[in-house]
Amino acid sequence: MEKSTVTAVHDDDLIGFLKSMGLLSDVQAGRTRCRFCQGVITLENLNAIFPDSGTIRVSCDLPACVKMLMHHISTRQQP
Amino acid sequence: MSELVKYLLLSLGPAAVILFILLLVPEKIEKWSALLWKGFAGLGGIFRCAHKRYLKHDLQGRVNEFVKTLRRQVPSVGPTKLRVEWVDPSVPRKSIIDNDTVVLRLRRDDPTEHNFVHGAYLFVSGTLLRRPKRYLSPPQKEAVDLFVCTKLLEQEKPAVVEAFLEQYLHPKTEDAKSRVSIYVDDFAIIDSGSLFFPVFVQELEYLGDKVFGKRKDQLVITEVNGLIDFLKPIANRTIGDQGDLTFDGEYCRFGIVIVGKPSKLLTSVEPYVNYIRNDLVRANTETIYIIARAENAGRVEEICGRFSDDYACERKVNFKKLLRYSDRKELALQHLVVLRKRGVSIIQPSESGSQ
Repeated sequence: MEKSTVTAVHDDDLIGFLKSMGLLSDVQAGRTRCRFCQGVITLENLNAIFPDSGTIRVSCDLPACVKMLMHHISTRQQP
Repeated sequence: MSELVKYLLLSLGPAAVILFILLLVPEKIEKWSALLWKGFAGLGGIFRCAHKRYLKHDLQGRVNEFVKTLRRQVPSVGPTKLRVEWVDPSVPRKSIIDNDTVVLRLRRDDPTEHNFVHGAYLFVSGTLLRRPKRYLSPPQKEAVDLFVCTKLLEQEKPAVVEAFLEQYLHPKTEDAKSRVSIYVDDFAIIDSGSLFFPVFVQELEYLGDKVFGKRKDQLVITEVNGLIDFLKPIANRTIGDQGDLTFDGEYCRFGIVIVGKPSKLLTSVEPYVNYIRNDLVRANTETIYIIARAENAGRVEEICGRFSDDYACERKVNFKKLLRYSDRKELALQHLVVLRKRGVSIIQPSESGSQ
């Protein structure tokens, strides 16, 4: 049986994880932007953290950005 | 083997029987364990960490149960199981980049079930039906993801379906007549005739299986549009309608045979056998979908037996379908058999005569 892993971070670990990614101070200061809508990312609206063009990007929880994230993932998995 | 199982069960007693049954339905166990962890998490204090276990088992149990149901209709859908893995908060940044890991945030406070919606959506987009979606256009892909995700939510979390549709399918800010919305509406029509998963997705699977010498995206996209247009009237058909039931595309070549007319069945199955032999086999039809009322399953077997040298039986499945008569509607148990031509070429030529 093939397994597909969804990697997740729980709210309890979010601060520590963002710190490891070097993103915490920027997110707290409102300097991080959503990869898709360019809106300001906060600890409240952050939805995903993912690599893109050699760096780490984040996206927000707006439905349009969730859809774009799914499209982004599905496109990069093309054969 | 079955004797051995019987012997073991009898000698080990009822506890072993229960354990054996539970092992057959791991998704159910996972869903129940999720409820248990949810209860613990509600206690707070030292049980706060139980919330992570609840989220993991809830998402895994429900999504994997949906995949299991889906595979009964389309067995060729990969036997993929979802596994939720918590990221180590101290993982180095380089490791996330090198492993190309997408990390989804799951919330503690989630009254609108976004955790489940986003997790399920991510699984459907990234993994489930990846092969059949390989050659589709972006709107076709997005519509398949949204529609399948809606079906998953309908089955596993019906309470969030409405919010999902409102937020993702028909957002007020988007054009209601977008290609994606039109495709999703079309899929709903096809699904109303119970043809979305057993026929449409199955044909996409066969399409995805084919290795195209040189991808001709537009041709495949057009063919999928044709497939949708072909299936819609069939899904809506009234008993007795005489529409075309053969799809003769560049890559998808299939026929639907509806075994239903009592006058034909009373005498023999020969009219169906002759139709398949003269119209479908001769036209090099790759897949034959034979649909009948469940009580006529025996006659369908008889028909299939006549073509066993050339066609392999891919699957048999029973499902409920709303039959439309001119004066009434009736929910009836249907029997579907899928016959696939033996030795269908996997590699498709780069250029065809039509180009």
